[in-house]
Amino acid sequence: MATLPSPPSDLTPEQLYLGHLRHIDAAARHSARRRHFSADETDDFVSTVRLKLLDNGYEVIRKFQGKSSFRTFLTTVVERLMLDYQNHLWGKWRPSAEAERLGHAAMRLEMHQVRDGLTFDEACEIMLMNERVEISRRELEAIAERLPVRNPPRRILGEEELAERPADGETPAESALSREAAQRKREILELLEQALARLPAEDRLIARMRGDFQVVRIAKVLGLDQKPLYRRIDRILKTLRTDLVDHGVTADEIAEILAFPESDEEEGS
Amino acid sequence: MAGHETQLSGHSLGPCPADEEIAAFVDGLLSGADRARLVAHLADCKACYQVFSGVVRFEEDAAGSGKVGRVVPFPLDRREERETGGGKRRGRSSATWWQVAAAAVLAIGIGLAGYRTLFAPPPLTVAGLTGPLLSRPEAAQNLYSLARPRGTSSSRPADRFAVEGPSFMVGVLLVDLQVASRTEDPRTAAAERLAAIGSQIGRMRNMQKLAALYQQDSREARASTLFASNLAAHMARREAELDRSLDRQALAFGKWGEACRLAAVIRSRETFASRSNRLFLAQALRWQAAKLEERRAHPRPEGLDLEAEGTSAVLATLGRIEAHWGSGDPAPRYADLRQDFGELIDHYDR
Repeated sequence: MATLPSPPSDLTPEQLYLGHLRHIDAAARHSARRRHFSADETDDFVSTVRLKLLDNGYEVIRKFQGKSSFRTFLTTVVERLMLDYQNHLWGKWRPSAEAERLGHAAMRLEMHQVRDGLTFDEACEIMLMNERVEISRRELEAIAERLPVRNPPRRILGEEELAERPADGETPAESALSREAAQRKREILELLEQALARLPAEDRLIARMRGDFQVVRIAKVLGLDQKPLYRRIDRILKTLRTDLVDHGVTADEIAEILAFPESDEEEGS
Repeated sequence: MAGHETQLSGHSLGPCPADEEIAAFVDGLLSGADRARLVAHLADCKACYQVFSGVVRFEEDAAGSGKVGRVVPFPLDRREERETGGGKRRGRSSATWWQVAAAAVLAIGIGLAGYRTLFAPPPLTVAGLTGPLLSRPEAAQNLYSLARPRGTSSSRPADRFAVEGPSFMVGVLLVDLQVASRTEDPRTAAAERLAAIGSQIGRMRNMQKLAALYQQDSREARASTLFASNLAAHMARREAELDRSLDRQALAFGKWGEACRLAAVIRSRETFASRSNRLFLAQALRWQAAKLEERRAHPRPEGLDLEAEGTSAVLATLGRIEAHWGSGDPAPRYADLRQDFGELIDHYDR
């Protein structure tokens, strides 16, 4: 873990900014890459970050008090700016909980399909050709199957647009089944949130982190011993399973919801 | 910069922690009640968790690649390094054997100036360069003249400096555009410079569309609509676009040259003490020396190698700049530097 001291006090905010510009850009690009931004969006975000740091005579940098390493502080600022930037980019539209769970490619696909009213093929074309999202069409199909059915914003289509619009691939019966499955998924996720809320705070954080990070990383960040953490995570998952079963969720449904990557099983266990 | 965001569970959330607290948590520097409060917040606040997990992910990837987010160490001046006994500095560890070897080769070729470029300086931005200039009205009164006499196209071959020259001049004008906001008539000053940027870009092949954008910007600046929508933010985006479209090195060279010329006019010690600016001087020397070497390796008939002549002149001016810049003690020779940087720009502005 980085424990660099605060920067020397005789450096001006400008010197700090310039000296860390490479780090700032790298953090911004990294954040954009994780969200599958297009090259233009990435450049725009990097410029936005630079501008925000320059605003009001380096106000953000001047507020740094030395409680953390300056480098980590800057990374945190960049990540916070990314949230603002996404709000600016996507407006009031919000992805579904399932799309968020599946990651940024899913959020983007959902945005194109639901917010912009594009067909799956059109959304794919934009993501693969224009946005150069590093994901295959097959993976996008798999994601699309898991996304809940959401009503697009109401808009009136012209006759020409309607004539050119391809027929939806699903029959009415299939569509009803999809809606039902999506509704069930929402219910289970809501129950999971409630079950999580009943855990102690640190367990809640561990459970959330387990969806994003390997155990070794969680242990390092939270300053916990790795071996006992495996057992602790098992206990947390068991508690969540029991809670969900008590609320009528089946074992298969739980397996899908609580399917974490298992690539970092405890060594020797 | 923290805000109030979406709650994840039924727990009541306090105000979001400052970004520095989240950073301290990631660094493992929080304990006791502070740590417990942050853990509880991160467990329930969707926005803060996203920020936190993003930082952890970045740190993880940075540790894995060893490349992401490398920070240029401060201070880099070799004299200061010797004085502080910092021969084995933390930031140095990232230099691999081939970087050291490359630096040694350069040192043999062009002397100590090249050796200083072992670590490339951070990219120069207009906003960063003009920081020390904006508070001084004399800078705004001494912008590079757009009215000076220039040679006609018949005085030099059409392709000479076809990309490098215009890119350099766009850099000069970008700096002036920023400083122009402090003139008595900022709208006119900005409109003139935007039009001049358009003209310079128009000198390059296949750049007419981009040139037209700047002519449009110029009209909007005159009509004040561009000012209403924030010229500075607009130009920061355009700067990134120009970085991609023009000769990046020449563009940076032009920005640096004009910022230093104005800094010499206002006698800004800050600009000439800046590590980034000193490093850029070394980089420019190396760049021009390499260009000259290349031209000499592929000579053209005497009298026809105008590019080599131009590069020799630029290199000679940079040599004078290095001599007049000094090491900060005694102070830079501002009057000479003002002259030198003026000459440097004149080499490109024909």
